[in-house]
This record gives sequence, structure tokens and C-alpha cells, in this order.
Amino acid sequence: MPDTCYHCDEVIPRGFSAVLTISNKQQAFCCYGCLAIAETIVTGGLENFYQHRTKASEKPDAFNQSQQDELYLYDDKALQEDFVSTTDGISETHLSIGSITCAACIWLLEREINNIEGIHRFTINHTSHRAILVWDDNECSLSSVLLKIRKLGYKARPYQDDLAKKQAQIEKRTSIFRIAIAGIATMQNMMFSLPLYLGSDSSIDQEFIALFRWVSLIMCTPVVLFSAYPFLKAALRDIKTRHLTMDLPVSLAILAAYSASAFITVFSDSNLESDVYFDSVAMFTFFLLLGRFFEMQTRHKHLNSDADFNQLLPATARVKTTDGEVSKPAHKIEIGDILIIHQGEISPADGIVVEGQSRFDESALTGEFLPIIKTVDSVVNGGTANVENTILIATTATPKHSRVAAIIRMLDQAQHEKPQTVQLADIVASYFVTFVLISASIAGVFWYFIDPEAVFSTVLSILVVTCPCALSLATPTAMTSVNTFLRSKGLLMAKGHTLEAMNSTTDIIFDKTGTLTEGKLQLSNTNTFNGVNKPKALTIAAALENHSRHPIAKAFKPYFKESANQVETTLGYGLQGSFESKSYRLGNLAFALNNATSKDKIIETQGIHIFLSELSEDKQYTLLAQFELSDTLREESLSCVKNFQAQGIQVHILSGDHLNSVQHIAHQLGIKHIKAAQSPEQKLNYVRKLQQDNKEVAMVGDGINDLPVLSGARLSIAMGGASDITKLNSDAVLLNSHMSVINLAFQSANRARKIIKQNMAWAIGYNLLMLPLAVMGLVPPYFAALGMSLSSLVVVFNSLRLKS
Amino acid sequence: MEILFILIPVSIAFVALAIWIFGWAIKNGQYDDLEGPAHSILFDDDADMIPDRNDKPKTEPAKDSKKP
Repeated sequence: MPDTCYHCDEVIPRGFSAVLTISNKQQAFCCYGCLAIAETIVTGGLENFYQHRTKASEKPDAFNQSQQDELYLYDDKALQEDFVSTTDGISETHLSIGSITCAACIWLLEREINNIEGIHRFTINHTSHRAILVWDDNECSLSSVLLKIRKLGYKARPYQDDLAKKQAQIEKRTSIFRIAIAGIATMQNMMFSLPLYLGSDSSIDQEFIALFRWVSLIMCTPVVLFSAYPFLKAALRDIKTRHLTMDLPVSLAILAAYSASAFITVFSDSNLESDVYFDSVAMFTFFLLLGRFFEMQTRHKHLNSDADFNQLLPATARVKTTDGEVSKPAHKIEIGDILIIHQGEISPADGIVVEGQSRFDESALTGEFLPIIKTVDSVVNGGTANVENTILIATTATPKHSRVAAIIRMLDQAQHEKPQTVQLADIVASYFVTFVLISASIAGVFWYFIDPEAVFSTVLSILVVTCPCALSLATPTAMTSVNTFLRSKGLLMAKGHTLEAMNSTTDIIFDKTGTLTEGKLQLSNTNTFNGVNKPKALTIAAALENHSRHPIAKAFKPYFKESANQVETTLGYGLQGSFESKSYRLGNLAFALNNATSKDKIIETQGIHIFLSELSEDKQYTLLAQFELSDTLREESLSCVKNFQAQGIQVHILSGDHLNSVQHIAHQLGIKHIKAAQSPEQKLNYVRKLQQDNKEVAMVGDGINDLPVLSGARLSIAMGGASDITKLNSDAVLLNSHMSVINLAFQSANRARKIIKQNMAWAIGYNLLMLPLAVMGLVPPYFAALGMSLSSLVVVFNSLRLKS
Repeated sequence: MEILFILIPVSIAFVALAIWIFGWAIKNGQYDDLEGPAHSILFDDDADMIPDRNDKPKTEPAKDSKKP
């Protein structure tokens, strides 16, 4: 039997066994969650999913009753108003689907959901992972669809368009249209210019020459006015800001070639002596647009996928009114509303506890992963999760003005002040462009005195031959190669300056929880006493912990087999319950032994210890087991840190956690610069201070509390487990947990820099060589175009070397 | 060759029509998913339709008129 899960490919915990027969073969699973999903898939007759998929599925989160109840809230008509449109009983909505790993997931979901009675249409977009759902309200409900998706191991939530995504969609559609027009015009123009190229004066009538030119002019006009518009607009911006980029000569060449050709077509005699360049204009625009389109595709990629998920604040809230419990959309919460927060729910707004006592998991805000006790008058922050008991809070700030929202506002500001990386290509290009423009004008003036008729063709040749095509390809092609390479290793580069920034980094800062460590408690050691075997102790503990939402409970989840009965929680101490008709206690030592002293040998180490005891018939608690839990270091953290230190990069730890645990980790990794118990503001200040000392700072983090500092650092890398808003605002996202990929990225950045330099040397060298020839009027435009393409090919092939 | 004076404008009209249709298709979201169709064609569930080696095609109608 394999030792990894058939569904999610994670390692199966020792002693755990869950099997299912799929396609006549026994397959093992790592947890009952995965097993349940596989069962759902097999019952639906879609076991082919496992053959089709190219990547393992994601391990499902726990799904309990209260989360299921939350889904039912979406059936509320008042709530649906925001995202559902209904005509004649047929409703339509857009859903965002999370945890999709490959195309087979989409196939599976589409098959399963379309089989539900009452579903008219359900299709998922492969790029954006967004679905359109059309259903008959009388036959099925929205929650049943959401529940089904959840049961298949995916997450779904209705989504509202935000501005960025809407713009991205418009941008993409327009550029496809621009490309289409340029492409069609190119083909048509080729057809009409071929007779002009091949024909001699005797074989082609003047009237046809005129006709072909006029047709080409008509075909080419939309290309210049519509397809080339982005270049023209950018060139205008360049002139205004006095910062020259490649858009300027590109626009000049397009405009000059077009207007000269148009002038010839309209005013001069139709003979073959004077050339028109409509076909070149269209083709040039087409290829440039195509290049930009692929660049844009990569840029949009990180906007998609899971971006709508785990949004920080829930969309709905339960409000206590005089008529009892009412649910309403979170954006309609007002100050003073009494909110009911059940166990396992996330607080939708900031507030003060008015009734009840519980613990809140504030890890999203502070990085501290042990829950904090909240009693009457304690402050509860929006976005933090209630771990234990139902609690009532009085709203003090609406979701819009909550602490989480404030941190996000700080993020915008930090991003504004982010130090800019000036790209090497930009500097070179701006000098080069100035040089080309000056030499073209000097040559123009010069030829005006020698031979006024040759001025235009010479200047055009200069602009085409020095067309910085190869130069403009030098960086993007190298970047694309590296990006593709790193992407296959699991690092997604989201922004353009990432590679440049890696090359100049002097200091790298790591967050602790969730970055250097796994960010969750794991069972690191089990000691048993009084003749109990380990699996038995784990089964009992898991049975009890199944009733708890405390992070400790998650560590026991893999060992869960059967639930315990009559479980009671004593806040801050532990759990008590009966399992297989025996009574047990699980919690801290004093609780487990009911304040009696222990006779057994207890091991004391770093980490959290909890104890399991059994109530014997004579009302005595006997200790059965000691579990040690700790947040373990990621496997590759040590080698990653050592690698950076070997490169002479200063490594820091910046954490919101207690000094003790930070020191413990820092000691293991050999990191000297540490700061503990930092608020998001303090973290940002720390980075600012480093930057004032002319340090180039890179930051690796995952939490919301890291957000401002991630945007403040010149280079930010988010961990795959990070919240989506963090991922969205980072320069790069590590999709797996292999820290060594970050090292690899830094090495690749170095190689890419070399290749870019080679490319530029070639492009500029070639152009400088051809420039004098063009100035002397020795290069005909068709040769200039051919040479330009060959020069570009050299650059492209050189860049492709980076992929290996 | 004078026919070209009619045929070329006609071809321009066709091109214009093609562009218009293309624009309509883009506006309708036909090009929003450039990856999906490439994958979905591979997920045909035709396993049950592929004949087994033992299933011989029925070439003759079954003779059930064996009644005495």
C-alpha cells in the first residue's frame, strides 16, 4: 500500500488506515475528509477524475455543522439581492471556486453540478476559476449547490466584481480585438502588396496599382488608429514625462510609414518607383501586440484563481434583535448592533463582548496561533475566529472601519511609498532611443542638402533598422523564460521588477509563524503511561478533540475515528467526555489529574503539553498519555537561511509572536537579527529604517499582519498558505512549501541578468553596426525589416537557454 | 480584369463582416477562456462506448425462430 493519500498526495499518518475500492483497486487515504470526497466522486460515477487529473487535489479543510449552516444563509432572499439576478423564477449568479488544481477538477465539478435537478447551466472558466450558475429556484436552492461543491472538496462563494478584475477583463477583450484587426489587416495587405512587389511596370496597369494602394490604405487605417493606439498613447505619455521608452520610436516608425504611404497613395502618380509600406505597418503592429498580449496574460494570472477566497470578513452576520436572531449582509451592520458569534465563526466587525466567554484565534491579525481568552468587556477584532463558545458582542466599528480594514489601508499607503526598481532595460533604452532620434534627425538634415528626395526613405530606414525590437525583446523574453522555469518549480512571479530586485537584495526578512515554521501545531511527541498503547491514546484524544475548535484539536484530526460522547469544555483547561463507556479528561496537567500530583515521569521540553487521563471507578484520575505539540520548522528553512547567509545576505526575523518562541527558532536557524512581538506598524518601521541605511530589503511572509511590511519592502514573497489579499499584494508567491525554491529564484535572477546583458549587447551592437549604413542610404527598407527580425530571433533563442 | 474593381470592394465588405462577427464574439465572452476548450476535449467519457474485445458486433439478426 502506498504511503501517500490517493486523493491529496499527502503522507498518511502512521497507524491511520482508510481505504476505498476505486476502479477495482484498493486505495488508501490520509484522513476521513479525503475519503469522504473520494466516496462522493465514486458514487457519482466519476472515478475517471483520478485518471484525468494532472495534479493532486488539495487536502480539504474541516467541514462542520456550523459551516454548513452558514451555507444555508445564502438562500436568504434579502442576502441574495446583492449577487443574484432572477427573472421568471430562473436565477443566475457568479461563483468563485477555490482549490481547483487542474483541468480535471473543472470537469468533475461541471459534471456533478449539472447532474443536480433544477440546474440549467453551470460552467467554469479555466483561467479565472469563476463559474456561471443558472438554476430554477423552485427545484433546487443555491445552498444545495454550494454544499455539493464543498462535498467534492472545493470551496465556492458568490462573488461580486471588483474594479481591478473588471478592468482586467476589458483590457483582455480589447487587446484580443486589437490583435485580430491587426492580424486580418496584415493578411489582406500582404495579398495586395505581393503584386506590387513582384510586378514590373509593364506587367501591371497603373489603375490597379492605384486600386491596390487605396485598398491597403483602407485596411491599414484601423490598424494605426485602433490597434496601435496603446503605443501611440504611451509615446505621448513619454513625451509629457520626458522619460523615453521604446514606445516612442515604435510610434514614430508606425506614424511616419503610414502617413508617408498615405501621402504617396493620395497625391503622387501611381507607379512602382515610390514605395508604400502599409503591409509593414500592419505586420509590425501585429507582432508587437502579440508580444504584449502574452506579457499581459502572465500579469493577469495572479489576479485570478483563489483571489476571492477566505476573504477576511464574512459576508453575513447574525444580529440579535428584539424579534430574535436575524441574519443580514455584513455591510449593513451598524454600530451598536449586538452580533451573535457561534463557535467556529469569524467575527464580521470589531466589537466589545457583552455576554459570554470564549477564546478567539487572532492568528490572522497577529501571527500568534494560540487563541486568546475573551470575557465581558474584551475587545474582539473583525476577522478573528471564535474557537470555543457562542458569544455576543456589541459592534464598535462597522466592517469598513475595523482594524483589518485599517491594516489594508496602511497597505495602500506603503505601496505608494515603495522604493522603485529602475529596470536595467529602461535605462539603456532611454539613452539608446535618444541617440537614435538625434542621429535620425541629423541624417535627415544632412540628406536634405544632398538629395531632398531621399530624405524620407533614409530616415525611415534608420528608424526601422534601429527599431529596438531586439532591444525591447531582450528583457521580456529572458523574464518569461525564467518565470516559466520558476513557475514549474512552484514560484509565481507576479510583478515585473521581481528579478531585478532579487539581484540587489542585501537584507532578507522572514516572518516566523507560517513562513519559517509550518504555522500550525503538530504532534511532535507522544509518551504513554500505565500500559496504554499509542494508537489507543491517540484515538481517545482525537475522539475528545473532535468537539473542540481549538487549534490543538487540529493536530489530532488525522487520528480521528469515532466521536466521544457528553463532551464538556472547561474554558482554559481542557475537555472531559466519555468514549467507549469510559470517562476521560484531556487538558493541562492539573486538569487531567484533577489537581492531584503525578506519580508518572513527565518530560519537560519546549512546546505545548497536554495530558490524557482516565477516570477509574474509584473516582481517581490515572494518567494515560502526554502529548507534546509544537509549531515545527519547515524542512528546508535551515538550508534556505544558510544559503542566503553564504551569499552575504543579512537574514532577519520579524514576528508578531512572543520573544521566547522567536528566540527558540532563531537559535535553531542561526539568525542573529530578531524582533519579536511586533505590530504591523512596527514591522513597517523596521523595514523603513533598514531602507534609510541604503539596504535593499526583501520580505518573506504570510499573514495579514505582514501585509504593510510586504508592500513596504522592495521585494515581497508570500507563502502559498498566505491569505489571498497577501498573495495579491506580493511580488511573488511561493505555491508549495519548499523554501529552497526561493534560493533557486535568486540564482535564476542572477543568470537572467547575465542573459539580459548579453541580449542587450547583441541588440545594440547590431543596431550600431547598421546605423551608419542606413545613414549612408545603403540599406533598403525591406532589408532593414529582415535584419531586424533575424536580430530579434537571436535574442529569443538566447533567452530560451534560461529555461533549462 | 475590370472585375477586380467589383471583387475587391466585395472582399473588403467580407473582411468588415468578419471583423464585426469577431467583435461580437469577443463581446459575448467567447474568448474569455482561452485554455478550457483545449482541456475539455480530452475529458470525453466514452469508456463505456468503446467495444470490448469479447463483444462481437451483431452482424446478423438473432435467429429466434427455432421454435419447433
